Amino acid sequence: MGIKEYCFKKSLWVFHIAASPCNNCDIEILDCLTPRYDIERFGMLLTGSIKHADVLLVTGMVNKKAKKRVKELYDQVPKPCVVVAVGTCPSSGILFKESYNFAGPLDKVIPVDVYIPGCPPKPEAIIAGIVKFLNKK
Amino acid sequence: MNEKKVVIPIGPYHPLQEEPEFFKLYCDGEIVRDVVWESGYNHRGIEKVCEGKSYDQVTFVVERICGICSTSHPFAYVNAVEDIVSIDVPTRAKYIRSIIGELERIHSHLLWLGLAGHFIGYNTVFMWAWKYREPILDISEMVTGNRNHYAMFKAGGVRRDIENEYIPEIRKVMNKLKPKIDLFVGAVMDDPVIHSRTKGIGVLTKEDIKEFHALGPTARASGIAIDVRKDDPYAAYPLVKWKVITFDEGDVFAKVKVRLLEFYESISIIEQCLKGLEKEKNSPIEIKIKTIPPGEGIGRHEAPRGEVFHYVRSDGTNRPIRHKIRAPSFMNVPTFRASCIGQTVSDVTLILAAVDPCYCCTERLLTLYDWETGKKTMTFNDLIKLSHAKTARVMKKR
Amino acid sequence: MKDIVGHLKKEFKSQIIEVYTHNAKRIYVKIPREALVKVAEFLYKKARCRFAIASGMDTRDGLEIIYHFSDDAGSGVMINLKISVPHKDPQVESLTCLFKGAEWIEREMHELLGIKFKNHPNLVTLLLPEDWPKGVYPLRRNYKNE
Repeated sequence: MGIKEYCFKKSLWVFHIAASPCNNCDIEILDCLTPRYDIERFGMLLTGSIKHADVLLVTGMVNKKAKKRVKELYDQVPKPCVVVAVGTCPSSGILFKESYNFAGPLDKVIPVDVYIPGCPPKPEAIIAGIVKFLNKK
Repeated sequence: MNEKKVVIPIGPYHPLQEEPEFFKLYCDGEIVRDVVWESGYNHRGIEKVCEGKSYDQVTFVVERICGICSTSHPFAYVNAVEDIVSIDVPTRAKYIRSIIGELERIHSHLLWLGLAGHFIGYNTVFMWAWKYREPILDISEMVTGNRNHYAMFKAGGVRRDIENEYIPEIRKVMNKLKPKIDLFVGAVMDDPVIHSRTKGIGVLTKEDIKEFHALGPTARASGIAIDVRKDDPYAAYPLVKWKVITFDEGDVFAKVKVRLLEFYESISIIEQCLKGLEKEKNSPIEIKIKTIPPGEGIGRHEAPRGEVFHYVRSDGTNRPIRHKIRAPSFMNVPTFRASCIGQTVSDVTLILAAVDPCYCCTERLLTLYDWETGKKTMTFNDLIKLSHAKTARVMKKR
Repeated sequence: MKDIVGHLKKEFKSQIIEVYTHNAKRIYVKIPREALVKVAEFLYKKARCRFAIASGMDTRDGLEIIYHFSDDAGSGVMINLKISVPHKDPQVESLTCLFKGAEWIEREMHELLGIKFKNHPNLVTLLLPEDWPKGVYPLRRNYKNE
């Protein structure tokens, strides 16, 4: 077991960056915490401070103004960390790729570990994405 | 700015269309003296993107403006296109449109209620409200195929029918929802702590509303009965009976009451529309629009947060040459200049939340560091903690 | 107020260039830019209309701004004031002297279309990033995405 796997064995704390999303992926992330999905059972928590986070959930297409902030936030996370691109927007930009304020897909800004496509991905899909990553050896 | 003042940044992320929010509160002790707004973190240039898409594709683009009111924008947009073409959609399509619009209002208000509870420090309300929101999303998934971003609307009608088999299921969920709303209403109206936290806080007078042209529940809580569904009737709203809820106080409590009572109106509208659907069995759900003539159209829809406004101009080709979008928060957010100044920091979170500028993004509001060197900064979480502490204090006093 | 357009015509006879009625609820009134503040004041204060929003756009003949006013007293009429400013001199009087609700939309039009609003209290960027090049307006027709 490598250090990275060891770090992510238990109780992941999640920080949520919204880089100009439409809000929908963000609601679905919050939905994971509420009674029906309740990922707090596994010790997963949304934290308010980036310094406590193991996982970064990034939603939305990254626009030119948010790009600098996303980079800065990534620099502040204690490493190792997992970066998850939630939704199709951060993965590719979909229909916003023609926009004048599009700063490129997320993996051009910071390294990404997991892509969860969907517009928006269902809470089940978000949970499945994380589980898949954890089971990857 | 005065050097003595403490700057508290709130933000920057907030997602309703082009209105992400980053507030800087200039404080003097506990009292907020000025609110400055900075934005651009969420500007996606959607108006320009729309100009490169065909009329049919634009419905999908505008849906992605906001995830919570993902029906409001297509609703206003199809109204605008139908205004250019000057057609009236079939009655069955009207009923379906109104049902989807009201389902969205219910789930949006529930979402807001949960977050408002979270802000005061009642996390149980947060969890409950979101739990009761799930069945609404289930109906949406059953009827439209997706939990949000329904893709139900198209110019000339709707894309999918609400099958007759779905109707009893929708009724069942509505009937189950009613006692839950009663529970929330009881909890809010009887709780002395909620009263003392929200009454007389962040008051917006009628004059303020007229000055800022605020919309939706924000305006209705200040005694101004504007509701596009009544003022400029569209879809099935003139066909059903319902009333506009208004209160005169203008404080946070009035805003809570307006939203709570709107649940009942929405449920009643849905039930009447379902009856209408049963009457309109096997009738068409759309009119084919062949060409869109040159001209301009305005479409409006009363979203959960207020009036959504779309202006579309056509030059006779298959693409709009200009598409102007105005979401309600664009007019509601500036009212903070009137409602926050002079209030304490711990109340400001509540006031900001009361307008409902898509506050599902609580956890996304980030820490900003070094905003203006040498000045103390605070994270949004600290602010929520302050708010929780005040609730605890109020509780202890009783 | 009933028949707002009739009152408008009576009050500002010489200044109205054209009145175009799309249907009973959508009325477009073309006025010169000099008359804007007065007509807007009439609509806001006397006719008690609500300012919904303003849409700016780039056309062949100049930059066009449409101020949408909504009559909420039950009629559902929208009165739309159209003004046109030339590309060479894109200036118009700000409406912030009448109501604060116009502040943001004027800032938005200022940066996306490059229209200057005279007497605006705070005409700084609203949406675009800090390092956006000066004099480049994304909603103009000649804007090209890199």
